[in-house]
Amino acid sequence: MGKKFLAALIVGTATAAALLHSGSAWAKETVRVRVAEYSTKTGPFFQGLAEKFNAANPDIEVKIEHLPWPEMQQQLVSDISAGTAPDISHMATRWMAGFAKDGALAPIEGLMSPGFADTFVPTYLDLQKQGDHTWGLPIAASVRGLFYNKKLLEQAGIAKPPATWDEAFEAAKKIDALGDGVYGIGVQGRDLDTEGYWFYSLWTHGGAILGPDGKSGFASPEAVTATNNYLRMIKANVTQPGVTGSSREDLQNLFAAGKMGMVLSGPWFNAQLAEQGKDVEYGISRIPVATTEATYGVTDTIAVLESSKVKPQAMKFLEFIFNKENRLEFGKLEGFVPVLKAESTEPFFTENPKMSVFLEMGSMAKFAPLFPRWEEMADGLKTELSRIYSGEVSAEEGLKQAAAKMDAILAEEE
Amino acid sequence: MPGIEKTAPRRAASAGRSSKLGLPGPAFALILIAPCLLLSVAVIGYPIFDVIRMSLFDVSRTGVVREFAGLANFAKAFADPVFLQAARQTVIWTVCVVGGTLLVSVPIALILNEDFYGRTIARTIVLLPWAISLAMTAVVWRYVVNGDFGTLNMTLAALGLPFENYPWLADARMAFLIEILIGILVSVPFTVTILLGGLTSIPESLYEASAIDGAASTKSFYYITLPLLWPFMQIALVLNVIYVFNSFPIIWIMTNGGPANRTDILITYVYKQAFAFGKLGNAAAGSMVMFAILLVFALVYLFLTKSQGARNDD
Repeated sequence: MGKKFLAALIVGTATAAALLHSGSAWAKETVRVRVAEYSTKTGPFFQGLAEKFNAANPDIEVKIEHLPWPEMQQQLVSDISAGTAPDISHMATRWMAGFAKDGALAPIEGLMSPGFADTFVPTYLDLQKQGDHTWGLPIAASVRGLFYNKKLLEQAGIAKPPATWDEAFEAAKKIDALGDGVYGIGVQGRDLDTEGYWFYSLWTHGGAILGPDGKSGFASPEAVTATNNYLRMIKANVTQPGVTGSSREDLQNLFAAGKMGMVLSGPWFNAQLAEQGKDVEYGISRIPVATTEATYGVTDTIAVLESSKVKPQAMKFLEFIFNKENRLEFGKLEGFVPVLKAESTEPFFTENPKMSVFLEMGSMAKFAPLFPRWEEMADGLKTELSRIYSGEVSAEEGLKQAAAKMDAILAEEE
Repeated sequence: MPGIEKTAPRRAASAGRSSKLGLPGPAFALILIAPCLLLSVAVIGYPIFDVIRMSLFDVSRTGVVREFAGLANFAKAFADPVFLQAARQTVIWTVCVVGGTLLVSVPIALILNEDFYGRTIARTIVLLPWAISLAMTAVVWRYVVNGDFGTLNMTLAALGLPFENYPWLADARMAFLIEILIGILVSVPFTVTILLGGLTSIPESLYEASAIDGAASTKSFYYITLPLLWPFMQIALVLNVIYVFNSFPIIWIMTNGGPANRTDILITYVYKQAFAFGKLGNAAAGSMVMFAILLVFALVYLFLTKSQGARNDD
């Protein structure tokens, strides 16, 4: 009896062990996916995709975590260092270079199915490449345009949206003169994308972030002219008061309240205006030009982490996210420009004047460089822009400081 | 207070009895608290150890500790003008918030110590800011001081003052001043609570005696209230310094350290270094500097409370 029992026990244990061991054949592989929220709809959208994907792939279970943007960077850094990072993570493309350099990301060119890379608009996928590797996929792309309040322009006697910066300045003066707490044009001076707002002017004046000598272009003559372009508007009081205290949201709120004639922003602003600015009749035109047509292009990246043990499964889910049907749904939901070639011809983008202008400008988009320490360089620039806009230092002086800081970081990196 | 007089001797008596019974003293006590002590060391000690380690090594942005760097991280921090600027601003921030808090709290505590109709309601109102999270307070104030949509400007404009769209947070000095005022507002409840405790401990008989001797109320304030309240003010001062010195949410939410780093304090500087720039080594070095400063204040606090206890034992 005792022996039998022992034998049974041994067999039982062995079977259990064998089951556990070969468990991977039946058990699901879990893929943890972390996305950042562009809006309250982002989380549920990806949740829905995961459910569909899980139903079609019984051997994989995708779990979605969604976080607000401001928490993403800190959470990702903490999780990677603690070894608890997800398998797939969303991030700003400008953080990607740093993570890739530190070996936190997995190169995906070997994981992608043949032909998958060719479905992307090359500009946006190229931005995800560094060295000889592709470090992620462009989950969102945007370019910027000039939002103008049709009614205010009409009241100020302006027939069509300004095409040049000089015209924009004149228009801003006329709109601001309408009084009643209305401002001509918005200039951003704090928080996320302050440097981006400056790039609009920099690039359209023929400037560049990196000069031909491989050094900072922040203090080039074009950059100084570009800065003075905003300064003349600030000095003439045709911007909102307190530029150094205004974030992107502050400007957008003013425009949505019908208190601002013109503001430079991206396609996501359409969504905000649809909810909060129903009374504002607006149009979108290209960024005003001085010498060169340009706009600021930004992408966000979704990447597979090096620590992931289920990289092929993770890639399979990524390819699912990036099929035409799902991307189109996402684009319509959040208002981003198409990153897939197949999306670009959809009527939603081509026939809607509030989207088509962004599509047109896609070809002239310029991007921030992918330096691992770009955040620091941009922060140095932001600080100096603050000092310049508040009149504390001249454009030449402030930009020289910002360029010096960028060059010092570039030199340290080499 | 009869309650205190009654319990104190009983405690002494029971302590005496247990030692007579021959129970092991300090060693046994140590064994009893050992689990707690170990847990504390693990929970408090490990992060400190890790920060020290990171401050002395080259650390990648994902926390991978690379080669030993000696004091290079500290040297980099002290060579960064923004770090020094943040350090200066931390001193201004701490001195102004703590000093202002004490200046405001003493009169409030004196008033709340008086017996008047509705005192309980007044006390509750003073304590209210304590009940709201710091982050929420900061968010609300950011809206209040918003130039175009804020209620502050709306109120001022309604009073006929020229503040229709004054941008309060655009000017660094004004922004810092507002943050300091909010810092004071949220530090008052805690300070008033400590001072009220101090005031109730001053025996009424002292005032009666001085009144019989013909002392004016200002005199009894200077010669009775202030000296007897002083130890409590010291403790409120030191604890507030520790809290305010690395108070993060108000500044982070209202100005993010800007414009042009003018409202950055060490804690916001360290946060940016770590999570925006990925320079964990520099951030750890900055944290160590803060830790050293706070350690001094913690020791001062220990010393104060200890001498306080000793005085009470006399």
